[in-house]
Amino acid sequence: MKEYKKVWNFFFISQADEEERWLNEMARNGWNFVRVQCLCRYVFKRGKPGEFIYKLDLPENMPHGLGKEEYYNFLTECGIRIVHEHKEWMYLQKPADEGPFNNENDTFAKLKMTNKSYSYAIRTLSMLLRVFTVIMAVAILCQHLPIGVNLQNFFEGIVLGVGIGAIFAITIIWVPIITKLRKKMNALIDEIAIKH
Amino acid sequence: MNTSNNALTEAVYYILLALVEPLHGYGIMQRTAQLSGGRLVISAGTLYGALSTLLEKGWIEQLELQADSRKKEYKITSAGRAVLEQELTRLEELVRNGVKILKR
Repeated sequence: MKEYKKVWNFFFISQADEEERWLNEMARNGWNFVRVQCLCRYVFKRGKPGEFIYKLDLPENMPHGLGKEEYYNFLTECGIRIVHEHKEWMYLQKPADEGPFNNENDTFAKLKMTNKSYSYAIRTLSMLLRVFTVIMAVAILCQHLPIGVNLQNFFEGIVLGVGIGAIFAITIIWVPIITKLRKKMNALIDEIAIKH
Repeated sequence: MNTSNNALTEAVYYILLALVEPLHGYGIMQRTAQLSGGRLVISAGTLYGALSTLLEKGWIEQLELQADSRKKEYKITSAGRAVLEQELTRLEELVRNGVKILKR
């Protein structure tokens, strides 16, 4: 019997809930999450069905008091293991018999997580924009150097390609992600106004 | 202190109550679950955020680390206790009015 299994799947930043549900379903079927490669190749290890539960998290960025390092220690102290990290995302694992990560109806915990995802999405977008800008600036600069028509055309192509790519990526991918997270956050805030 | 709207969240109320005795992070989670009869399960993220904010407000304090332990312990301060007392008064008012109007 195979001990490891690799499954292709992909989730956007705004789909952390769906990803979590899927990982937990796999664990219920006896496949414990190990890591994810290249955003979409999930590795699972065979285990006892229902032994662990999983949760996605981003580090707490408290402007005062405790730091990131301490959040890691804190999680460990709470019996939570960080199975895998990808960029800032943490894949948390906990023995199922020690109870859930939080209450099903913990609106505040949901809001906090959505807010962290939202900030992460914005941070990533601004980082991408900066990279695009630098590439564009360098390419535009090179385009005007006396390096021959062929090379100038090459850099013109880069400027055009990066520009179109950036516009495409932002409108098709990032705007829907950020809009979805913002709407979810607003709905949770409305809920908190009534019961918390 | 502002008295118009200083209701504590359920989580903070129970965290402060739990910290009448010194406890570390995981201990707080267990104590709050126990106090609420298993109803209140505070997520690690929520507790962590709450502890940072409460430290900042001076309602709780961090105890000196013991040499053999990496776990940080927290305890309520007198300011925190005053907030709890005030909250209890507010909760009593809520219950009093509820009982009166619903005639229980």
